[in-house]
Amino acid sequence: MALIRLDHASKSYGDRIALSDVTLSFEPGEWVFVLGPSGAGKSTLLRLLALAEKPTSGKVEVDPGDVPGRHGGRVSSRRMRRLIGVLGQEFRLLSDRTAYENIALACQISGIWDPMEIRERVNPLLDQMGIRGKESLYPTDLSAGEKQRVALARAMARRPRILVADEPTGNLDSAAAGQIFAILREIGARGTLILVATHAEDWVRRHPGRAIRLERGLLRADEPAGQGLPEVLPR
Amino acid sequence: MMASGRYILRELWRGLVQHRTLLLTSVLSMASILLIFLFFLMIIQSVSHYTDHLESREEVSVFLNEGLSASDLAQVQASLQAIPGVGSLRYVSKEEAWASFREDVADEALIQAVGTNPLPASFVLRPGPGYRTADGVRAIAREAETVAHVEDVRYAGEWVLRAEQVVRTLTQIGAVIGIIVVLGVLFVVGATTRLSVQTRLDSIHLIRSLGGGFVFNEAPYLLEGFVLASLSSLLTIVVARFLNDSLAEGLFRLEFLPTSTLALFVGVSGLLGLLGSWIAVVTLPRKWLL
Repeated sequence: MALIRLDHASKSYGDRIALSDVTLSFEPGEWVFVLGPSGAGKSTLLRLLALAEKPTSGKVEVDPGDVPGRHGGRVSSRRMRRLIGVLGQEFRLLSDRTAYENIALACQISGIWDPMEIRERVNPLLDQMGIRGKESLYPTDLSAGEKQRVALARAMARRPRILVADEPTGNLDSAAAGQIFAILREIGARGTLILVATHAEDWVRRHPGRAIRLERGLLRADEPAGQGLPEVLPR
Repeated sequence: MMASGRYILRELWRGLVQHRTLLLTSVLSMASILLIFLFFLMIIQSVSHYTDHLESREEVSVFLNEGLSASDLAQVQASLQAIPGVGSLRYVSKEEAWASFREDVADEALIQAVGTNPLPASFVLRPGPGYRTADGVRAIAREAETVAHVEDVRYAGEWVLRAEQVVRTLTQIGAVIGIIVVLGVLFVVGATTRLSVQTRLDSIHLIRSLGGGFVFNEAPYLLEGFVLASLSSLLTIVVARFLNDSLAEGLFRLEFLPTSTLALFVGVSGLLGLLGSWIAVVTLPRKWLL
């Protein structure tokens, strides 16, 4: 079974069709770029994949694996969301908490309350993200790149099986963006399914993976990435 | 469980400290509303106690014809005793009545002017429990009038009736004020919590997006509403006590409410705060951050 699957999923907001009849499936460890111009339906697709919204028609199915809290074979969508890490263009850090507390919050939401256990989870992430020494700083004292790395650490603190990132480098300079992509690569190499919506076509050409292109809510292409993907797909 | 409880308390503290000005305003607004209600409760209680006092002193005096024999007296006593609602009765002889009159008047010239003892012997009836109301006293008096050898019956039931009417009216006004206060507290707590929630909207949406449940998204705000309303009610009690002790002297000084009623007042206020917060939190539109 695929880790996550969209089956003829459509999403409308009133009269506006954001996504139309999309069928896709994703495996663990895959690296997937979601491409397309503004308004193509990228964010809608990611929201459906993050279980933040339900499709208007069709289905989104996630393999729950051994997620705790199963009742009679069913898992609540809230628990399922804990399998999924989310990273946005805006860092969405809680301004009244330190970097460490922001990351630890994700552990607490997952039901990990023991401070030792939280430390064991957070400290390796601080090292991995290269923000060791910044953990006691508040978001206002961090650079944009550092904020995004804290946000990424928070997304990874729950050891998600899926990481959904919507324009994760949109607010970063190229050096910071490169660091984020490198960390994402490392995470993907450990078996996490990475779904990244981006406008950074050069990254798509350089990084091997899978590229899904959307246009006006329709799936236009589902091809390998990192092999010189054309700038504009044939219509 | 303990850890999540600690988290809720920490978040409560964080909210109280970060939004102290807003929350202080809210506490003062709620306390103002509650103060009106508390004073009304005190007025109702005082009037009610006064009426109880009147009722407890309510007696029916049954004046007897002159020259009754001992057997006549015994017959009258038995008849009066048999009237439903009579708790106890006491015989007052002509001599006792005269002595009591002299003691009350304490004016020898006036007593000399009256001359010989004109006062009749009487029985003083005390209504039993359940009959210490205007209607109860009136019923006993009407029965007593029908007993043989009874010349006249006197009672002060009208006072009780009027006092009861006052209490009833005040209670009705109190109920209306109570409803207004409940709505007012709900509105103030709801609006305050909503403001407090609005200032932390991004955090709430973010935590929801991360899959945070009741402990993270609802509990701190519910507790905040409960604490604010409870603090307001405690402040109200302190202010009411101060005003009653220092400003209202003499006739206008009201009886303060008993501890059990005050505890109930604080508890109910806290629950209203909880309800107001709950309404504010559950009506918050869902929004996912991605």
